[in-house]
Amino acid sequence: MYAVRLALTALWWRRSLSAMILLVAAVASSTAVVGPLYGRSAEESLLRDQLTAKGPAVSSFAAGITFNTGSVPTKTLLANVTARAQNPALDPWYGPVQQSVSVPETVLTRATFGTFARARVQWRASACAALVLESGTCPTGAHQAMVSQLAAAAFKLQLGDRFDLGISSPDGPVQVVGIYQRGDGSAPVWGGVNPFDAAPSRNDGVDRMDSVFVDQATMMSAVDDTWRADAFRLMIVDRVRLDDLDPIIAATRAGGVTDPSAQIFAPFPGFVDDLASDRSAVRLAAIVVTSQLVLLAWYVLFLIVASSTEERAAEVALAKLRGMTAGAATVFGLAEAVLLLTLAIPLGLLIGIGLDRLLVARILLPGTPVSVQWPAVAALLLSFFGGVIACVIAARRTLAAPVLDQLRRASSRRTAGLRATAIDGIVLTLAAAGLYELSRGGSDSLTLFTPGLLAFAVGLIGIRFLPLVARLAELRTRQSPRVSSYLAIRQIARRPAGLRIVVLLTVAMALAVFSVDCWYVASGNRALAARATIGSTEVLHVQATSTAALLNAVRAADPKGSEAMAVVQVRGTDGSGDLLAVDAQRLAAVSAWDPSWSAASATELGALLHPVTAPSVLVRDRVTLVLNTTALTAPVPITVAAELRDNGNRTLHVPLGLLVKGQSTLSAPIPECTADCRLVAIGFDRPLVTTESTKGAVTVTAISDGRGPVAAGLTAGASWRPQRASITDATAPVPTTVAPAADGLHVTFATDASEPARVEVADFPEAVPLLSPASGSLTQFGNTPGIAYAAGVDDSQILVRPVSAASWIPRAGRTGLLVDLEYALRAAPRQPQRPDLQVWLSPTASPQIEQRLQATGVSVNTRESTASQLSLLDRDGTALALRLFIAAALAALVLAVIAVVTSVFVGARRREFELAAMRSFGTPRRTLLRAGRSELLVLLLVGTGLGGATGLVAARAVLPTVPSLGTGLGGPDPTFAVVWPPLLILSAVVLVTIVVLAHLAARLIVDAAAPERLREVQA
Amino acid sequence: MSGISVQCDGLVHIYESGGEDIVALRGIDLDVAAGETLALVGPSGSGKSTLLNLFAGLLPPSAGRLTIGGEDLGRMTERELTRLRSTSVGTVLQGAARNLLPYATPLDNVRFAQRSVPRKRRSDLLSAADLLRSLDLESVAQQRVQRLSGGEQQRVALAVGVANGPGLLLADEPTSQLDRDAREQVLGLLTRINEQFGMTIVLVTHDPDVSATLHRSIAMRDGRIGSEGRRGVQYAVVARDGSVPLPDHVLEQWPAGTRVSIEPDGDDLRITRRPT
Repeated sequence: MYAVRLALTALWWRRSLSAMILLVAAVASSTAVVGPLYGRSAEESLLRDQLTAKGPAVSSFAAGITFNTGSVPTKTLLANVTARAQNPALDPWYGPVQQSVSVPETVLTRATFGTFARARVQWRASACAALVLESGTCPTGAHQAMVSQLAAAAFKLQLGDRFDLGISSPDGPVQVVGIYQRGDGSAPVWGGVNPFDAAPSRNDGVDRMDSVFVDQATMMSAVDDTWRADAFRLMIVDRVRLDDLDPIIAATRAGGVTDPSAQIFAPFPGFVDDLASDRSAVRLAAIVVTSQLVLLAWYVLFLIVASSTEERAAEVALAKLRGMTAGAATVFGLAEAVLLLTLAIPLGLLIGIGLDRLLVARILLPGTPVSVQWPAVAALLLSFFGGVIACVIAARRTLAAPVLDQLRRASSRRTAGLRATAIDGIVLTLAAAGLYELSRGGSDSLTLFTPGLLAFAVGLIGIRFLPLVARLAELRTRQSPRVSSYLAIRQIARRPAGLRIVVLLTVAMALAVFSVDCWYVASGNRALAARATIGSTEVLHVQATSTAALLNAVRAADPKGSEAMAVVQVRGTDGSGDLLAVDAQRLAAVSAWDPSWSAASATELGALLHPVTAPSVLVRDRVTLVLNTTALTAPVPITVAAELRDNGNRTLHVPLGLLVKGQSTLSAPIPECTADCRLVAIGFDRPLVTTESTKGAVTVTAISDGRGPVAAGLTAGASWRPQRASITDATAPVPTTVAPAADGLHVTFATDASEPARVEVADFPEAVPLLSPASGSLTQFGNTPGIAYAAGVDDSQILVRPVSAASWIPRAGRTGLLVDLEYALRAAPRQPQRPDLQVWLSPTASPQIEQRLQATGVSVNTRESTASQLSLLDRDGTALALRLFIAAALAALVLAVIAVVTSVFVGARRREFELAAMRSFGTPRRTLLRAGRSELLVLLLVGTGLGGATGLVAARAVLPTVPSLGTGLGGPDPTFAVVWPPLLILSAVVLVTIVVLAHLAARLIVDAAAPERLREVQA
Repeated sequence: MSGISVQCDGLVHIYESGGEDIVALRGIDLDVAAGETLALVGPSGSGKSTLLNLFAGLLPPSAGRLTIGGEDLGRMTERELTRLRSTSVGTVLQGAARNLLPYATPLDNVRFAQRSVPRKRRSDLLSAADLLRSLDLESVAQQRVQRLSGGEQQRVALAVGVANGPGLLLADEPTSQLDRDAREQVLGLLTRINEQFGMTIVLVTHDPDVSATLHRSIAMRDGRIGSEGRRGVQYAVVARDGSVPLPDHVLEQWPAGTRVSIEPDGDDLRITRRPT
């Protein structure tokens, strides 16, 4: 007790130094704790993030059975799989059992049309609650069905219509009693099976439509080859913690099934296995990052304790003089430091937990649990014992010295050179190994060790050379009249102890520069990847009656074109890139286009993709053509037809009448066109069954609609063009010619058996302008230079003309294609069947834009944003580790400042007699002040300069090797150029701190060295 | 607590400095009886402090024999020397403050000095408070050392030096930098320690008044014993090798190399200078 009291008294007496040691010890212990704590929290966050992002596809638990032979009632089988899913062991983490009975694909038929679509037919207990009804009701009894709004529009289904489900039950057709809005197919309620899976036909011309929902009774009595009953439970993600993973996996594997043919869908164990490498990476990265700070703290502890023990050498000598044994004297010499280290254990734990909570709140997923596990406690103890070892090594030489040496503060340095060489060798070898590992690609986490090692090696090399350089400089300054320079250089040359600070500063500054540099470069790459992946500030996935309706609706909701842009994304098939069709003239204002992605700017692209064309020819109510047929050779009747597109871009084929020689006026009503319809083409059709060649020359002298004459560009300009018989065959003859003339549009046609003879309105480029991938190649259209063909928005081939190349297309990546939506729709002969309809919003989009879209018939299903994508990327394991790295590096700088202050504080007492003597000889105070300042400035600037350069070099070496810092973000080619502003700010702050420190320290030393001190007895 | 004797027999100490061997003590023959007080005087570099450090077991003899309390220091291990310092020898360094933990009170300093005494012997010791009381230092026992005057600090240093109940107290210039009153108090305390505890005291001093108060003084010169004084009278001492150092005032007239003849003259010797 007496010993503890004495040590506490001593600690209080040396309170400044004690506070420094306690602070450093607390930094070491809290950092040691934060590593595993933060790693654990980051793992928890990662787990929840991934569970939320991947949804029921990885987390749900389902028991299902297919192929009912009919021997066991469906009800019984459903009860069996339900019982399996109801395993009580799952209850802590899973919600209630949800049931469904479905037939994955059946052919639907209508009495009047025959087969019209394929669809999944299902009953799902929670469907009615999850779906939003457009009209009608949810099925509640037999012979009732509900279809999607898209299906209703595509297949012209209305409430009350009847169709046959193509399954054995119920007998007879079902009646449409409800029309639902499409929603988010990945929503948990669907258990990983997207019910909104409309798709164009694969090969039999029968398109697939969204799920048909029926009532329970209907499905319970269904007998079909592909019948399926499922009972599934959704995971309640917020309840799941890392500790629960093994119990959940055990629970999903436990329990039996009464029916052996039942299948268990439990993807969770596989998900956990897949997550293991990410978890390991984030855990390892956190430990690698914090362990560097712990090592640095130990080094600072070593420096401070070495200095303080030298100061206490006389006290230790006194202990030995009083007969204390070597062991007891060592305990006495280290008691204070060990006491402080002990005090730092609870302090470090509290600070560590606080820091972890702060980091969790600021960085990780909200609600991430924080828990103290045994690794944190082990790290705390390791930090304590590491600190003790650092203290023992620091004090060893002083404590082991003979009493008289201790009293004289002299020590033998005979072995110092050998030991230093050995340490240099080890560090340089490790640094070289780190660089070699980097050159081989390394691992994300371990490469984070390289900067510290490299900086330590550079620091060591630096302090070996600095005295040599100082000795050379000493010869020059000796001749100089500036005494202060000579004194400063002389002091550096002869005082190797002060050089330890250089190593410390080199490491601290290198870590700071490396982490800040990496962070800003990686942040830039993440932001770029987020923009490139999402496309604009916010992307709404929407539902509209048609693609054309979406385009019109967005234009109506945002007439100025600065807030929103209609986009259609068509997934590429067979490995080809996605096609992105955008309202190109809004591209610059709305999209997050990066100038580096293409040679042309977004504004230029808008003009290139949407060139000026002939105006559309718009008609309503009736279409009338006035013709003058000057030649006609046709063994069969030729029907003149108008091809129209309504405002939903649906094609209308309107026969007008037979072509006859001489003047004729052909006309037909168009009741579908109560609003304007686009006149797309005029056809000269013949019966399909005939094979004879036909020929003719016709002048279209006028076109009119229900309102009167229509401007159709018949007499001048390039408003009309012949329609090609084949898009993919460049050698196919073009069966028509057009020529505007004063009396009207001169058209000739000459067709063989197969080609249609049509002339079309040139209100879109024949070859749609296209932004092509920089690295990809398009299929050339014959020998026509600059013209190729590609799949359009409806998957059919269209002619395209690459106007520029892009290294990256937003959302579509490196292989994507970009076209103008309006022209792409006009070029598409059919309705797009599987479009991903989107509305991109600009940063300046008004909060009311969604209401305006809603008012124009566009409803929002889901949304994505650059911010949320960035947030997701920011929670990646390496990004999380980098944030921690920055915090650790800044703490390292603070540690370095503490070490410098302590070094000056302790050194001042050691040097005050020497300086007092110089003052008594008449050396001016100002000269000593300048000398002290210069000496410190040189040491501090060399340390920070070496560190800064090493940090920059290390960052350049590490950045390309760590995929999650750029190359693996899933975005365009990352950039690793230095982001200077934050580094310059960091450098400026460090520089100011150095100058202030040097000035204050020099004053402290010189002021303490009053000549009066020489009267005192020096030990 | 009782005094112990010291015997030096041809004691030599050589140390290395700058690659050269320096002979600090050139064969010291000296007997200090138990309970005797002895002053070592002489100019700087004459070997006084080296001899004191040898007595304290802080330096090893290079040759000759050094016995303290009957134990040959030259044959003792480091552990035995440590035990010697914890039980038999008390040392007071030059400069009172160097003997004391600056942050502790005199009471704690005395306790600190008693910590290394083996438990068996510790019960024989006066408690720290009793020791300070017996040395009239009770009034400063609880004060911080730094707040004490120089004289008080030196007296506390002496108290710390005897805290382990040694038979031999070694003190290096205990009265330097003290004013007259303080010096008298310190000398009084030394006398009291000697009388009260019977302790053998060897101290180094430059002050003739201090050496005059002790039983005996030894003047050292160039690592040898130059002369010995007892009660104000100076004597040359015949060494075991037969050499007799000449007094300084004789050396001034008869420099080294002077040829002399030595002839017995009854109980005396006659030394006559001879022409070269």
